[in-house]
Amino acid sequence: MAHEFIEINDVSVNYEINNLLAVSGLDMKIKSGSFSAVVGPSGCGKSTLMKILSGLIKPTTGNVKINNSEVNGPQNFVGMAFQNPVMMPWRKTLENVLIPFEILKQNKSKKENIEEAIKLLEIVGLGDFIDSYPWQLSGGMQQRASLCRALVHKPKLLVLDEPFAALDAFTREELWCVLRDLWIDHKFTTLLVTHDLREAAFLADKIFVMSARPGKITNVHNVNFKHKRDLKITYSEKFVKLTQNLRKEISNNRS
Amino acid sequence: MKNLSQSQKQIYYPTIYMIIFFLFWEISCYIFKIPVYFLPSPIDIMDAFREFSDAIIENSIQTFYTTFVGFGMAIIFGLMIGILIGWSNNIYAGLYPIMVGFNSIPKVAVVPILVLWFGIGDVPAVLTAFLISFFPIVVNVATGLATIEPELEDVLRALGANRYQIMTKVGIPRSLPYFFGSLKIAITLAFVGSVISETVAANSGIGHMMLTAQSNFEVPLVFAGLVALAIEGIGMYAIMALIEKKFTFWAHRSQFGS
Repeated sequence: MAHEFIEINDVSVNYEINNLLAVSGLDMKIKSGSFSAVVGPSGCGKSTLMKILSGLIKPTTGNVKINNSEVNGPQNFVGMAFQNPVMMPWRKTLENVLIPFEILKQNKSKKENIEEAIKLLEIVGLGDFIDSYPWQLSGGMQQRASLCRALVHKPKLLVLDEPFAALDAFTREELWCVLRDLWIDHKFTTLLVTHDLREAAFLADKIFVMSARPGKITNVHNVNFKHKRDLKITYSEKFVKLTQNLRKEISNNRS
Repeated sequence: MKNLSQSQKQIYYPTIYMIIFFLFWEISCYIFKIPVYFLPSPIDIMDAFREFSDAIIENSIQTFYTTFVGFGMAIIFGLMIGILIGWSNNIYAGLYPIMVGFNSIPKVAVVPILVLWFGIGDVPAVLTAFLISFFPIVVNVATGLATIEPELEDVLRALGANRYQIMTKVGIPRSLPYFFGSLKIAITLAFVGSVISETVAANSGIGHMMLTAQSNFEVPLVFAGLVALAIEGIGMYAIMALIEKKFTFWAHRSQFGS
């Protein structure tokens, strides 16, 4: 079956600028094609974890292996989306989604890339807006576009840093379903960093709970709801119990 | 009058205010019997305009020419140095203070040196225009590059983009509004530079013409030169504003002030 796709071994990160130990003794294993979520109190180093995985920063000690090779810099098989959509306002939505192709030289024609991008934008419901500028779109629509940009080059690993945190509750749940469907269709390994326990429980197979700074993993939960999940399960007893447990662990970790 | 569109208002109101201003001027000259050699009335100035139209047009073209050559040089060097400064913190730390020091020298003081090197003529005017308009371009381009949102950079860095790609895909487009904004300031300054140099050391140009008219006591012509400068200055500013609007529409979407 699926092998360990990501291995994080005893990683610590110390930011030199303010001598801040963000994470310490961090161990994680993530299987290929799985959907994992990381939750934890605010400031626990979740974003740091994400940056280590994408190769944006290097761990001070320990190592990170993806697919059995050590991460030494940005990886071309990683897609990222952030809390803010970070669209380039001078580019149309379609042109924004095409950015990964411009950086990663691939052996595909421009036409194929554009078709790929349009297909993805249509899936997330932005088919009518490919020629709009991002600032003409609502926050939720921009976040959809940002998701497309993270996925357009078919990354093996999708890293999401609180991608839905800035959205209203309805839009957020709508986008959970968009992400759920995309993941079920493509089975890219996904790591979702989030504050929202319901989001973690609804989407993930495995939930890692992090301690307060310096962050490390304190608990791991396997989530056994069947795919593809319906929003209704978020009201089930099992689901509520899971989120309550998570909440308790996080508040324990904070003190 | 409430039914005027925004663009009609932009023409309508300034015209009304300008007419009132010139009427006030004309009437004051008439009532207080101000002598022509002290303050000519708008009608006197218009007469001078008609009488010396050839000279005014010829010298305006000259001033326009030196301004634009200097301004063009300022764009090229300003962009280059601005990008260089924005590119690296070390270059920024080393070069920026020098630029500030250099810029604090009043450029009129440089004109005698330019004359010493290049003689009286076009070259000092072009160079003064260049020196005076170059700094705002550098500062604005460097500021634009320095204030890029790190998240925007991260999007590209996470894909493995190198510095050159980040510069061309994010840095330069992102700082274009700053660049075009600075052109509006720079063109007016270049114009000032040209005219300063012309009044000190030139054989032609509006500045030179005004100086000659002044020594001949052709006071209406001095004022006609002033009006010609105003028209030229407004025209150049308007062109720059138009270019700015065309290229950086995405940066001007705020409803603030409307």
